[in-house]
Amino acid sequence: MKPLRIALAGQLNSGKSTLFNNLAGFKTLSGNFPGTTVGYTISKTRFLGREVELIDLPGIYSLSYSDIAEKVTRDFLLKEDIDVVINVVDASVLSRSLELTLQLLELEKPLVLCLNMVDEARRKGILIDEEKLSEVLGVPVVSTVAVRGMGIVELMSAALHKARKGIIPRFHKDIEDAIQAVQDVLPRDIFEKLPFPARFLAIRLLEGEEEYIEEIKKLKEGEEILKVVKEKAGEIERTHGAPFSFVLSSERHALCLDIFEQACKVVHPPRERIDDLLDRYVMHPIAGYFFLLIVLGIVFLLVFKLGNLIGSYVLLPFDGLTKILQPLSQRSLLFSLLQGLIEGIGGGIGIVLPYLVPLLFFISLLEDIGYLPRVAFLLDGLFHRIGLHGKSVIPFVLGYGCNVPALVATRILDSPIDRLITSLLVSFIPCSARSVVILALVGAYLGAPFALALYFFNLLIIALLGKLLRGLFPGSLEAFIMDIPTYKMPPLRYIGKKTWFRLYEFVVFAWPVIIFASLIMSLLSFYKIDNFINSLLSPLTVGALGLPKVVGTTLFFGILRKELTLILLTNVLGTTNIPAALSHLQILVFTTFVLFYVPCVSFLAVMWRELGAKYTLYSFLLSLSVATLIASLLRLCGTFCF
Amino acid sequence: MKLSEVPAGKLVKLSLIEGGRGVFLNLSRLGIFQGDLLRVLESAPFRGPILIEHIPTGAKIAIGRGMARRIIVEPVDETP
Repeated sequence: MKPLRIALAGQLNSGKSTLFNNLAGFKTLSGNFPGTTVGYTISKTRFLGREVELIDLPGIYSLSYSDIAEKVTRDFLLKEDIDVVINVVDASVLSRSLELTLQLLELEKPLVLCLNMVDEARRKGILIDEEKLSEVLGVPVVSTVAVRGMGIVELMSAALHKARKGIIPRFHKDIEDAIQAVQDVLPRDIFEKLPFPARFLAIRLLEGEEEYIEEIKKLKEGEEILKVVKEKAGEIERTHGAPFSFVLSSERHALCLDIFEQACKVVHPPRERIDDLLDRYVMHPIAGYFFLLIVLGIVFLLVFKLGNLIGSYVLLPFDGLTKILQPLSQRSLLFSLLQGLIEGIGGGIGIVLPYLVPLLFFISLLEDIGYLPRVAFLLDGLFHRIGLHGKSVIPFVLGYGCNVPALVATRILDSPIDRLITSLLVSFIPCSARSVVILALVGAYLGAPFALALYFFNLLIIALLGKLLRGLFPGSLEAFIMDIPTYKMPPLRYIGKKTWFRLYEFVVFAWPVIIFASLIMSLLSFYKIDNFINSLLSPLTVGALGLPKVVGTTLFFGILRKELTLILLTNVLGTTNIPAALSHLQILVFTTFVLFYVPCVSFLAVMWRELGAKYTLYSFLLSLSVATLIASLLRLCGTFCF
Repeated sequence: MKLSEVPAGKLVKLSLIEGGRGVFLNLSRLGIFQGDLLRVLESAPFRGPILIEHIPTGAKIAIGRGMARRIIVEPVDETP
């Protein structure tokens, strides 16, 4: 039997991805801020004895799209063969969520309404009568709390057995007449080609959506149809005094309020909600910034201290092994390769993982609590000054985990120029790999204050670059509007799984690359080929940066993965005791260069896909020149100060 | 008055959305329509956004200053 295809559709931050992860095992990232999912994820699984293909679609507010995520979702819902749509709604803002539900009903596909976060709704004093709601909409309604796994079985059983097409909402008579008039002139045979219901198409045409108008223009009777559309839309516009799309939105809104009133009871919560109390400080015009600094400071210190603590225990045995192998590796290829292998494995466990685990954990935690949109609120004003949008905060913060998802997350920016500038800047955010280098070199040998200063310095440079880029690519900043979700304390188990999901990427993809590169490095140095690369790069490494010639290869391989610069550094210097080979200034210059130059090949590959070859080349050259400039300036200043 | 000029803590009613399709669409996507009650909660410094509570849904929404200037509201008397 063909697997049943079930699509999860819903508004932003309604918990689709959380639900998806609960159903399919952890396969996609979710976060408590709008717009986490920008592409869709598909997973095959079994439910109640039936094979099921689940599709997690990007969140959308409505089907009349205006951004990439909305287009992805709408195209998928319309063009793909889907058996059931699960409409996931945030029950705590039900009246708003219903607007999308009504539009989904117009698609005339079997639907199930999933009332997610009912616990939150109850806390807000919203009591929903599931049966009544189901009766009004004509589809099964199931309450869930996805993050705790509540109601999942009931939901899936409803999706498998009870999904129905539902009752299509009716508007006021004059609007219904206009829709009918357009439907009447649409030739029957076009629906063999176009995969959507006549009513849906008629509404889109009346709303004046280009994509559909183009489709109609291709028909031989196209002109006639569009004449009727124009006439009917004009009539409504005249009698209501607003464009058809406005009138329709307002009609739909009225329907939603009506349904909400029929099916829900609102009892006001007896005392002030903790959320509001918290927000009074967290989003306060002055206290908010102090709070932000404290949160970031605590995260930084915890990651640094935990990383140091774990690292110091784990690295010892590997250090011992390397010391024994060191003298032997010069003479035999086998020992040389063995040393490379041990350095690769040890570097992964001893240097990278100790910092990576706590860092990814805290990033996952911050995401799920719902703090990030609040940071976006606080920083929007400042970001505007450097030519950026408040929404850019989210890709930036994600960038501290990994630049690649951050790059994908720039899709939440609607304007192409804003997106380009944010993408170019995101590459300068120290991702977890670069944080490992910062913490393990500057943090460990020069002290935590220096490491912290480097992070701030990095932000300063990004701000300057932002101003510069905005000057180069002028364009107006789009309007900022963002939903601020309620705080949620996700179960630690969920955060743990999420951290593991991110760590998995490192263990499965990055670590092998590190081990492999470490082996290649041993091979190169055994046959003395590394000298060639080092000589080639020496104008940069020795000339501009004042580093030993041997670091050339580390920077070269660092383009594969940034952790490699650190692991290979111990390899080429022949010791894990870095200060024995490099001065403090050299450590600082090296780290700064690593921090700013090209993130890694995966970043470039994804940038190519997202923005094209031209801007990928820009990004490559920009980061290389910025890194060279800043690191050499630092070296010059440092020579005077140290 | 404009939404951007409302002091924090005040309850207002949305009376008019200026600026055509863009602003209307942006607001309607988040379920904000003419006639809705809004409470201004916070106003971010550095000419940052304004935080409102949308009374009908209880949702908190940040609105950029540029957009807030195009939203016309009237004060609502709260004395019982």
